[in-house]
Amino acid sequence: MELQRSSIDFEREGIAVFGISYDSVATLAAFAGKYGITYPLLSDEGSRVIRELGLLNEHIYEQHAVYGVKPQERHMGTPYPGVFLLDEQGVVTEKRFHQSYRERETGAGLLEDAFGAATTVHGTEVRAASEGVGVRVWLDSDSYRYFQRLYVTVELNVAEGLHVYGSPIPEGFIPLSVGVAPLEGVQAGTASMPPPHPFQVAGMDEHFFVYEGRVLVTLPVTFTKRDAGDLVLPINVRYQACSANDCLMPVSTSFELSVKAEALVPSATPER
Amino acid sequence: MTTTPPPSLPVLDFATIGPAVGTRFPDVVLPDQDGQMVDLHQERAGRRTLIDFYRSADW
Repeated sequence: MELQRSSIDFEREGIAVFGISYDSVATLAAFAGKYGITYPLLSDEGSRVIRELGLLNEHIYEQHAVYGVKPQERHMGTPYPGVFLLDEQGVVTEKRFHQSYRERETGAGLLEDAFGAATTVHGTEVRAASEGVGVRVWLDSDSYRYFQRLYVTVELNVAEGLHVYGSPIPEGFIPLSVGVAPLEGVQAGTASMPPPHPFQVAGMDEHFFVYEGRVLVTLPVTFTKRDAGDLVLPINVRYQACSANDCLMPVSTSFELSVKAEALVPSATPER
Repeated sequence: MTTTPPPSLPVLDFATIGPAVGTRFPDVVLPDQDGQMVDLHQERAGRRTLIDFYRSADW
């Protein structure tokens, strides 16, 4: 399972990981052995817990129909696919479920976007730098599957004494922005920015919000075209670095992230 | 941040499906891949947690 790839990062961040499915212990044992899964895969054979939690996927046949998969009785009892994030007290802080069982996030993407943690295991990475600001951009996987959701992470390291602007911002100033240029087969969501700090410039009435030090921005992208082949995602990053006294020239950088198309996994074919 | 499902799939409101944000995740005790009973809250031992509900390990 894809989460295993990031297990070292989950461990370092002190995040426990559990999988729950309706598979038997024997099926899970074989699966865990084959793919080297080290976190608990819980067996809810009969789907009692899945039902009690209200997570039984009641639309599996409709979803199958859309994908041209034949209905089979053994497909009943699956949960809506998605993840729950719990805090230290066991309280649900976030749910991430998808309209389609084909759509998945990666472990690295969840770590970066949901837990705000940096990962050591991820896909293609590109770097650039301007005066006082280093930028790293990466994708959480170097390959994608049809309808998979990946995250672009943009990391800025702003030198001490400098800041870049967040929003809201007075007119005439340039806030940090991250976006994906339009590309067929790629649907980009909204960038998730950390909360900026309020900042007052001496001698000016306007209020600013700024980022200093290390800034992590994440942006979800979903691959919506079948057989789109290998892609290059054009990521645009724009910012202006300033000190308390003056500003450097605004910087617009375009990063190109290569991502390979994975063949549809055999388990997604209707024959089995 | 939700993507549009392919045409003709029902659009589900996941905020109302399953345990809600802000509530304690219910107690779950199930066997793991080694056949050992696992009490999820006991096992996570005060750590932040990711629980992944997935389709199946088999298809």
